[in-house]
Amino acid sequence: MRNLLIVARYTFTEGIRARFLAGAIAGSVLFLAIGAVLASVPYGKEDFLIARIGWGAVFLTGMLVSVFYAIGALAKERDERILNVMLAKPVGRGIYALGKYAGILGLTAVTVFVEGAVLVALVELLGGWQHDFFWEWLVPSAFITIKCATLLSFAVLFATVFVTPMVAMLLTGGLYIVGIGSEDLVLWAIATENPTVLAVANLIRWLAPQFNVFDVSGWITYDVHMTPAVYAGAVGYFGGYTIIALTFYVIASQIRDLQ
Amino acid sequence: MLLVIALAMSMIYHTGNYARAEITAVGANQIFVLAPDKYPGLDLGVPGMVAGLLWLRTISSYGAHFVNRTLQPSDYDLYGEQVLSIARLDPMQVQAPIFAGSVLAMFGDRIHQAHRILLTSLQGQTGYWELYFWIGYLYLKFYGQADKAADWFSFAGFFPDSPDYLLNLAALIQMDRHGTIDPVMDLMGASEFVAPELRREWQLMQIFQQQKLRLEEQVRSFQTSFGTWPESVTEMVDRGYWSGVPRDPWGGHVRLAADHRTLLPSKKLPIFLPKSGDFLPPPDLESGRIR
Repeated sequence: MRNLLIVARYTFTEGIRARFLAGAIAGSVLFLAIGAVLASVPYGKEDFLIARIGWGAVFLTGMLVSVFYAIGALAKERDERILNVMLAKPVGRGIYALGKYAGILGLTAVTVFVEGAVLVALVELLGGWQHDFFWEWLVPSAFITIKCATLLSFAVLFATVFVTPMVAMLLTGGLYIVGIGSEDLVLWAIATENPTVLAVANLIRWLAPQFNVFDVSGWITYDVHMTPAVYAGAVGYFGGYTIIALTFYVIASQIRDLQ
Repeated sequence: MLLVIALAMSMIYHTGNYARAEITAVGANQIFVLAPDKYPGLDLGVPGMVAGLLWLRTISSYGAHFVNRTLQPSDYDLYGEQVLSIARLDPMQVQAPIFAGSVLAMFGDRIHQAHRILLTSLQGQTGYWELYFWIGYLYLKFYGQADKAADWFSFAGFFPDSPDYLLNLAALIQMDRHGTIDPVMDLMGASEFVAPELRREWQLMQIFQQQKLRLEEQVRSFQTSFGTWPESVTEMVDRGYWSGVPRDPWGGHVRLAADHRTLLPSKKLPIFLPKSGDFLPPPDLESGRIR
């Protein structure tokens, strides 16, 4: 555990040095610009719009930044043979792999939470409804981080299995697109009335995590009443996919050829 | 994985419904309808964000044509299609039902489109009162069903932040229809909108609504006396208006909203959703059939 934390901290620090957080700050400035534009819309309810568009942007930037950084960092590590040096120390491959993941996830969380804070502050500033700053900041930020963690787990898995970063990025992007479109694929499959097509579509839906379900930021923005069981379901859904992907990631790290 | 993507893209391409170009430009104003809800993956996994951006585009375009008096009657069809797409992407969005009622139904006379948008927005399960108000409006103005309209107005009137006139409006409609002044609270106690397991909560909400009207009257009295609204509920106590911070039917202390004049309950109220079938698909106004 101690080794895992050391690797995570090392990865996190590397990310900071790589101006990882600059992306978060740039994103925050973007939100401010979006907010200013939205506030000029004379049709009202702009705080809902700012929150809705803003949380979507937080998710997209958090996801893109973490995936690109993770795949890039693992490729760089492979090219520079850093792993060979690290494994000369008493750190197991699995622990090292999980430490890398935890470090990048920490960077993602910082990005999401910083951007989220700017967003909620903006909504507080421009909006007219009753706000609970911490509830409306912490909960959506936490769930967006969980979703990013799931995609990140697949990204590091693909980056470990496939040598070329481009392939890993394509696969991660493909998984995301298939996941968010799988519900529509099932609807289309139902329309075809072909049982084989429907079975394939259902299989895809079950295999690929659907990143557009459990819209927690939307529920909180629009004050939709949800039970704790629904929130627990959201954590379980994405947590389950993350654990599966991380398991394969650790196995792939163990058997990977370092040459 | 790539094979899966290729298969999916191929299926989409070869399917008439999905492959049909949904981007249309009709009339002198060349209004484009973008319907990402009809294509898998085009909502980028953030349908709320895409819906929000589409809404901005739509309202900017509509507003510009409205102000410049360049709107064509056929434009309302396109705006209706666009807002329906927005509501499908994000049924929780509050602007879509407002546009449906206040623009498509009132100005554009596009009743069926407005109805479909409201129907889609109901799936969002938000407690936003205007959605229910506009459903009542359709019943009252276009379907000639005043009783149903009164039910929906009452329903809207019980949501947080709804204006007080809604309950009065519902009572007036009832009086006009039946010649008697039914107390609105009793009327809503018998509402069939509320699921049996939520009836108790609904009754508490009614009690709170009565309490709210009384306490807000005292807050207005405070404003008349001091020229400013109270900063908090404790200020009402300090200035002698209340002997203590009143408790609501749930046992907690009432709160003052950000506008300093609206009272809120101590807890977040549950959303009372209409049962399926309370708002049917739009009827054909000429033949009376559901379409």
